[in-house]
Amino acid sequence: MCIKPGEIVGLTGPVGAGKSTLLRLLVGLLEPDKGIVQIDGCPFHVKKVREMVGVLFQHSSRQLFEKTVYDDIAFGPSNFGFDRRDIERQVNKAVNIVGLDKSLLEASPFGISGGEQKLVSLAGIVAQSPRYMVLDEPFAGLDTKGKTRLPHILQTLQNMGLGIIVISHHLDKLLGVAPRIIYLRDGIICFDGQRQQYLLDDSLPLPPITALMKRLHARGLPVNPATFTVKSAIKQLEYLETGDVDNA
Amino acid sequence: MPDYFLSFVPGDSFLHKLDPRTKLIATMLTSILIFRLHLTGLVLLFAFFIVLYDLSSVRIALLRNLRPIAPFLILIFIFQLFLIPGNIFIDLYGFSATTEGLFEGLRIVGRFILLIQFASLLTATTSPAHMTAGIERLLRPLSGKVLGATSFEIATMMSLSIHLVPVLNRFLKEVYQAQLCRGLGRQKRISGLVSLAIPLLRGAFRMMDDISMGMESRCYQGNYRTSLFELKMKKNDWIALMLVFVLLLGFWNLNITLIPSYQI
Repeated sequence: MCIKPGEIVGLTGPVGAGKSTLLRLLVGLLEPDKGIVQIDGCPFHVKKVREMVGVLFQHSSRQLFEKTVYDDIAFGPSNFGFDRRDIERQVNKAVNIVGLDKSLLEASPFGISGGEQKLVSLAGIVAQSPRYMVLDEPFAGLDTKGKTRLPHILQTLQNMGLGIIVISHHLDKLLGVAPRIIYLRDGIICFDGQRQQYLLDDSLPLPPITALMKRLHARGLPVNPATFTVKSAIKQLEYLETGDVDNA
Repeated sequence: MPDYFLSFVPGDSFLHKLDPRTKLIATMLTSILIFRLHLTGLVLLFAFFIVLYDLSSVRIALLRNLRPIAPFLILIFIFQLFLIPGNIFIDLYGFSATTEGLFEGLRIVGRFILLIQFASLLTATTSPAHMTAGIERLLRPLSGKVLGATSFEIATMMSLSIHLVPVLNRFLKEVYQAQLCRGLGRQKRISGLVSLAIPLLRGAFRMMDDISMGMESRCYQGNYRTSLFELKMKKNDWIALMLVFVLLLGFWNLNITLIPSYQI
């Protein structure tokens, strides 16, 4: 598989499929038995990779430790040798991208909510200004506000030219952010392709709303079988009710 | 070979079959003896250890056990060697090593080594569950006011802590990997340590809190409980205890020194 800059890839699969192992391979925490990992065509060099690839771990709020949120976000950049002014700029940029409340910067990272902690750890990674990012279950532990915020954050990062891999079990959320989906089972890539193709493949697990729309479509209702958001499903069904079939 | 310092090695030897209480008391008595003895006695005691080691049929890494405290041992030895006044036998740039210092250093270091080896023999032949049961049974007469808690509560605390060690180990690994990806180990070593210690402590406290709430919600009372396998002292246990007592009494006044003039 290959991930390009400016691309968001969704990685999913059952428990034990090897998603987290793949993540560890990508950042050099594990060494591959077979095959190679290349970043920007360069041979794999652990120290360089850690600078180029930012990782958000599943329980990322466990990694916070500094006295203030600001210091915690600055931990990564200061380790990678940014000078003080650059660190400040990076932290401010990251906080803006993530949409964190500026008043939180002086607070202790342990006094804020779980969802905010997740955003702080995400900001810590954005502040390292990596070329690529791997996010393991970024939706887990986020509150509703954070969940609606996250796709926008990813969009901004994508526009900045970052290649992003999102690992998640939440299929509906994943489909919402990633145009390209990779499905992993027992360490083997079963599917790698566009979102629309994924939704039409019957052998792969689907979000409940897609399964419903597919059934309705099979019964002869004029709905889109590749619908994956509840919002769009409601819209289509409303059109059906009013009889405006063309719009549906 | 066990992976960790002072870990349990399953087996079926004479020492494995002894009651944990016997082994605990014997180790305690031997430790007292170790602090009483001089160099000659320590050498004899080491011979006794080798016999036990052979009996245990576990192959613990004797030298590796010493690795965590090796720097301290070396430091202690050097201090003794150079700072105790007496017959000078080497003069190094104004620092003089004395015979008395040499023997005193050997004695102190020997004591530490023997203490560690006996303790590692105890833990290698006694499973954590057995050990907890043994300590619980030994402390039972002191339950209540003397200890401030019942022996069962103490046993529960011990077994919980033992079970949590691998969990915390995994937790630490997780945090370490996350910090590595944030550039840990590039510059600041001390802050690196802090960046691991704080999440670990926080996680540990949180885990304990969850466990205690989980136990309370399932009606844990902490009072007397009978156990499925009540410990029983067998003939071998009494024989072993007798032997250790005889050893203790026999060695108690064994203060023959290698050099008659050396008296500390």
